Amino acid sequence: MIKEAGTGIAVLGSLAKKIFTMLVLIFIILPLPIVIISSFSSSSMIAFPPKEFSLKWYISLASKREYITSFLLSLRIALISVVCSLTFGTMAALAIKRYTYRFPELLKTMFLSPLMVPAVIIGIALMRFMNILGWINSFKAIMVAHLLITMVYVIRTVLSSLVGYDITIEYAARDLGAGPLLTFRKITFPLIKPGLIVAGMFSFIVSLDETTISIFIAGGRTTTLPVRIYSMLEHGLDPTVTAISSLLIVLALCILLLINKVMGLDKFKI
Amino acid sequence: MKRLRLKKRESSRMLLLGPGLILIMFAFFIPMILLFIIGFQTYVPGSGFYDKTFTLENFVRLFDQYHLMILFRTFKIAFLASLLSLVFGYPVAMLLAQSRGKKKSLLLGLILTPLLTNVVARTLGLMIVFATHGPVNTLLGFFGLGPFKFIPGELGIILGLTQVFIPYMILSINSVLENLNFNLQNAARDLGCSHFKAFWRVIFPLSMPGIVAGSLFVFLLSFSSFVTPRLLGGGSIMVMTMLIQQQAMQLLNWPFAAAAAIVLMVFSLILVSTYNRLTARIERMNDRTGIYSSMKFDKGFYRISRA
Repeated sequence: MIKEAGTGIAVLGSLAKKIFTMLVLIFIILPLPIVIISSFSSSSMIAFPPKEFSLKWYISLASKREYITSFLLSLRIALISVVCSLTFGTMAALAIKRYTYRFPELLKTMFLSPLMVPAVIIGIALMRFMNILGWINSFKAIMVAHLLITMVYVIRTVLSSLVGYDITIEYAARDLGAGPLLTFRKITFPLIKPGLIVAGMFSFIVSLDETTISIFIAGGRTTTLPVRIYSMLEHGLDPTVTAISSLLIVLALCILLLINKVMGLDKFKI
Repeated sequence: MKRLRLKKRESSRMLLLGPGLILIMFAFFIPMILLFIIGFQTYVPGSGFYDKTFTLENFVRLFDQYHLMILFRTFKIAFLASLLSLVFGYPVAMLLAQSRGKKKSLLLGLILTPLLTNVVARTLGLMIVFATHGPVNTLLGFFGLGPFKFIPGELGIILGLTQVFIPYMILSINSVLENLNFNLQNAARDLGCSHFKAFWRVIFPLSMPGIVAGSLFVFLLSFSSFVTPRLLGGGSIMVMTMLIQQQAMQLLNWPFAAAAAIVLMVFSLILVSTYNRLTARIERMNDRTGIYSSMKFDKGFYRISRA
């Protein structure tokens, strides 16, 4: 009898736990579908749930040049970032791995240190420096910031994919007469390719998402998409924002599926 | 001959490192050093300029009553956000650790999608969710509660930061639980423990490293976030990052902004090194199994900044 009562409580307890877990999961994911659903509302006030559905805000999005310019700018910055930081970052990571240094940890820490400083601080430091150089609001300034952030990511990812890498096979290739470029193409590259793919996708997302630093150094014609959305939200809600945000959310979902396909989510480290 | 090879080696090393070094110097170290210097210079009120005389005045001002209150509020918000992430995140981490295959992929997808989504888009979602007539208040209305005014307000910021950073807590606890032998719990049950007691006395203490690491991480991220508190606080609730931004961009008091930035950085560096030391110790303890290898700090810390 007592035992039965005990099981009853246990069942109730595990049910409560299940419901709680479900609620937390809903809490984690909820903002995303809500933005997408709200974007189909016909009301000019952002409200949930919408009373009537329409494509109004997507049509309005197409006619708002500033969003499209910002989106194209963000896309261009992201693509340039991926190409340049993959090149420079991989070179640096290989150099860190390949040669011996007096202070091996120092060099690594130096390259990864931007990760340990809050973005607001990097933002105002860069803003001040760009002011002095007269680069403020220029494409150069925003490019430099994005290159910095993405390169650090590439170095980190490539370094961790080089952990089990045996440098002596490069020497073997060189001994057999291959030049440095051929060695890279035939030996090093195929071995670190998975790491490079992840690094590339990652720097693309990081660059496309970068908001805080850009808030400080972007302006006028160099306003990237996140900064544009941020300043719209800062000054009150225009429902067009929900449409463009929905597109960004769908894009993130596609990238997630891509990562899942390439390497599997459980191996993905943030 | 050998010397020539050595020289060639040296030059190819510089060729590989060069571009990266130049970029990191130009875009990070020089601006940071500059900011550090400005923090000790004197502000000329109202002009937006500063002169080069050395002063500690900016730092003294940071510790007056108003600014101490901002610092305290920043700590409070970060603390409550990490506490809430722990309470909310633990059961999810348990579920994740005990599920396999398709279910696990689905759960991971649910947890990771928000992380990959633009922080501004997510904050917009939070603004709708917690609005006065939003879904949360509607739901609470069914139980005769509310409506609550979550945003703009501190409560909204705390809940928002929790939503944004809870995945880190879940993944951190999960990395410990995943390698835990859940038979221990069954053994405790066999020996007469209640379900709750078996969890509380066996599983929970064993997962402590993940809890501490996750909490420190969420604390740090909340502590230095800018976009989430700015948008969910409506600009009226000041935290440290907002103080820095306001001083630099609106009041043009660069020396004071720089000093505040230095203080913020000192706090976050202390937290980072505590975290690193902690995870390094756990890692050494578990070197055999490699349980904690995925918890090193430099992985993904940049996300600090994204909210």
